[in-house]
Amino acid sequence: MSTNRIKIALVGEGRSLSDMLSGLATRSRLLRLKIVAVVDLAHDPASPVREHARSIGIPLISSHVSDLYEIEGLSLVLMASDLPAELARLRAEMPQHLPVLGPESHAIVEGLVRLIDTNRLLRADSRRLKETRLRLHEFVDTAPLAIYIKDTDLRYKKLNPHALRMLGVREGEMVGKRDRALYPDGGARWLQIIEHETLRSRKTLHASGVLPIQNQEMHVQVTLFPIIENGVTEGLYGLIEDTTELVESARRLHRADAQLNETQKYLREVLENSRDIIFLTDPAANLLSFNSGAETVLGYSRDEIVGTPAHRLCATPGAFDRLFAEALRDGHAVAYESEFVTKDRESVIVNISLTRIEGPDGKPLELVCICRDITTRLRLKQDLIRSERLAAVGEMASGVAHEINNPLAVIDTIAGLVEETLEDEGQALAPETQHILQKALDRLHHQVQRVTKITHSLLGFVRTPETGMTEVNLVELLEESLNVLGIEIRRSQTEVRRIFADDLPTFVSDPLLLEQVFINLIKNSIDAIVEVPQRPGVLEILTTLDEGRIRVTFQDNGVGIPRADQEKIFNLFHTTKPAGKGTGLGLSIVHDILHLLGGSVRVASEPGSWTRFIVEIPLDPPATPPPDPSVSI
Amino acid sequence: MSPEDPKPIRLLIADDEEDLVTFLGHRLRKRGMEVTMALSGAEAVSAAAQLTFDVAVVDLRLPDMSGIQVIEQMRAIQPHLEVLMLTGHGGHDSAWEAGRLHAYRYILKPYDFEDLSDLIHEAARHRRETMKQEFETKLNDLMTGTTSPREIIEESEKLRREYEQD
Repeated sequence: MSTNRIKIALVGEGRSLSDMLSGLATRSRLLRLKIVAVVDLAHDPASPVREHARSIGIPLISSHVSDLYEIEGLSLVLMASDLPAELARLRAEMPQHLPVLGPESHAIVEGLVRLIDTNRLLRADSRRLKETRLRLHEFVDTAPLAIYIKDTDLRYKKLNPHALRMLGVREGEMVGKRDRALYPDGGARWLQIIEHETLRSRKTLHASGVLPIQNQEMHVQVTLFPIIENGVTEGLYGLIEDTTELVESARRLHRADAQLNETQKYLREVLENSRDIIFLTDPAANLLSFNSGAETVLGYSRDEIVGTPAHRLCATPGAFDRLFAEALRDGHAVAYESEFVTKDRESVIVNISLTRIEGPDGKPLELVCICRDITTRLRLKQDLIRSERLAAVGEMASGVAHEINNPLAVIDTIAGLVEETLEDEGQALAPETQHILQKALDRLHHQVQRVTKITHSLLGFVRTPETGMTEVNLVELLEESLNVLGIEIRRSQTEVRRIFADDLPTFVSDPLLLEQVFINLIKNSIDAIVEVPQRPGVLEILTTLDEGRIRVTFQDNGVGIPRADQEKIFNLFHTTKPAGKGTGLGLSIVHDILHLLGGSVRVASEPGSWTRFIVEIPLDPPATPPPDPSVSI
Repeated sequence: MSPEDPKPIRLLIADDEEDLVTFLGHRLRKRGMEVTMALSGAEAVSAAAQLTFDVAVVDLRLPDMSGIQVIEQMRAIQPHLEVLMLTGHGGHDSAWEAGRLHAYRYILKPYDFEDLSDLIHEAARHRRETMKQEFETKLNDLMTGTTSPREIIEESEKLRREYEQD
């Protein structure tokens, strides 16, 4: 081995010699050199360079150039230090064939060292490159991406397992073939164009399109890398991603988006046109918007109110401010039966619901205020409560009346008995006693009658709960009512004139309630007639049919109703009769019953001359009885 | 007693208010009526089973049965009985029921005594007229019928006895 190497000797001193020795010693094998001698001209047997030379086993370490002459097979002497005298001597003394390199040897050695180092690096690179290639192939085979390699003719060279699965082919069928085999109808033209462009431009390109794969349209995204070896285009890598689902999702998203837009538009319209009061405010409670419901109910136009504080709408701005602060703090706040004031200073009762809307930064952006106008509902509720209370009062009143009527009958009967006895056998008593007893019994009768009037009215006030709609014959009902009041009619010597239309159909209504109406009205007429004893009483009852409504008119020639009272006459507890005679219940019952049956009652009267009550009843009863806004207690 | 009512009116008063029955009965007796008193529905029905009445004054609500039931049971025994319905309760539902069962009249308590007395006379007259009419109709049917003279005499004798006995 050592025989093949070029034997060299180094001559010099100090640092330069030391550098050259270390530079060559570590690379001598690669350079096929063997350093056989080191001549240190510095004459220092303990110099670092001699130590170094000894440590690496240089056979000859000397201080004299002459020692070199004896070395067999020495090919080259390198002068490490720039010592011209020594060089000249050496050249003169050395055998003719032995070359000696002077100061230029440094440059040569340095060049050699660099060459070797570069070579080493190259080898390391090549190792790394091999590893990278290996990894790349591993990646290509196992990656969840479809990858193929094509040559410059765009014939397949390789397809990774994922690509084979995606395209539904075996590698053997495809290698060496073009896309035409895979997409016979030219369904991949766009891909070939972009592949050509990749080869031509030597750039990585991206494209997306549709491939007809396994009889289905597949949306794909393709990335193409050119393969360039030693500056020559060898082919390309292709990376296919199945984006069908992505595209579908995108489409769905787009559709959903469009629907969302539609919905938003719809919602905006709903909010805008809602009958409810809806407005937005900024966090300082200034109005930002005002919908048409708000305009309608509150009377302000959008333009005049937007930008002003919202609490001006509220009857108690302080309460609104507190509610607003609560919504700002908690996200939501509600208030029931609050009072708003319209532009015309009218009161509107609303339920308020405030909701905070936050911006992307989490800070309150605006507040939505939705208010429902419950003024009417509240009024209806109050009416309902009132009519329920009335019903309860009536129930109790009738119970009380019943309990009173029985003892009253006994008292009156006994008083009558005493009166009769006084008449028959009272002569034994002093005339004055007779007189006072007579008067006492008279008053007793009178007082009983007074109570009777009240209890009978109270009984009439009961709204019979078990009523029902049935076929009604008007004439029969009127006769029945007159029959019930037969005694009163005869006693008041009232002449009843019946002017009944003979083409009246039967109709569906509540006969018990209607009878109560008729009895009350007839009784009312008799009471009015009794007030004018000097005139023979006449009650005319007239029935007609008019536009699907039955009309019954009761006209009497009694005392009449003062004009001021004609409006209030149907109010509960309002009476025009002399004190102690009326209870103010009868006509309000008439009104309530007819309202319930979908009918109506009107009054016309000439005070002192006549009164006319006109009752109208529909031939077809209402489906649900309307609420009564006019009852007042 | 009015001249056209030769016989005293046979009256039944049925009411659970004892004071009322007692004093009303007393006063009507003074007016010449034959008054029987009942304090319950059962008493009224059992009285009707023993005696014939022209008119019954019945309270709509008796403790053991309703006035309507009392009327039905008494009418089953005496079909021609006229009834005046008394009530302290003015609900017109009851009036409707009474009307349906042909109570002669419906009277609210407290009543006027003279009115009540008049109505009793009126009802009794009404009953008599109804029966007389029925007797004449039946007699007429008998005369124009195809029955033998002997049968006619027998039947008419029976009718006359019934009518006069009443």
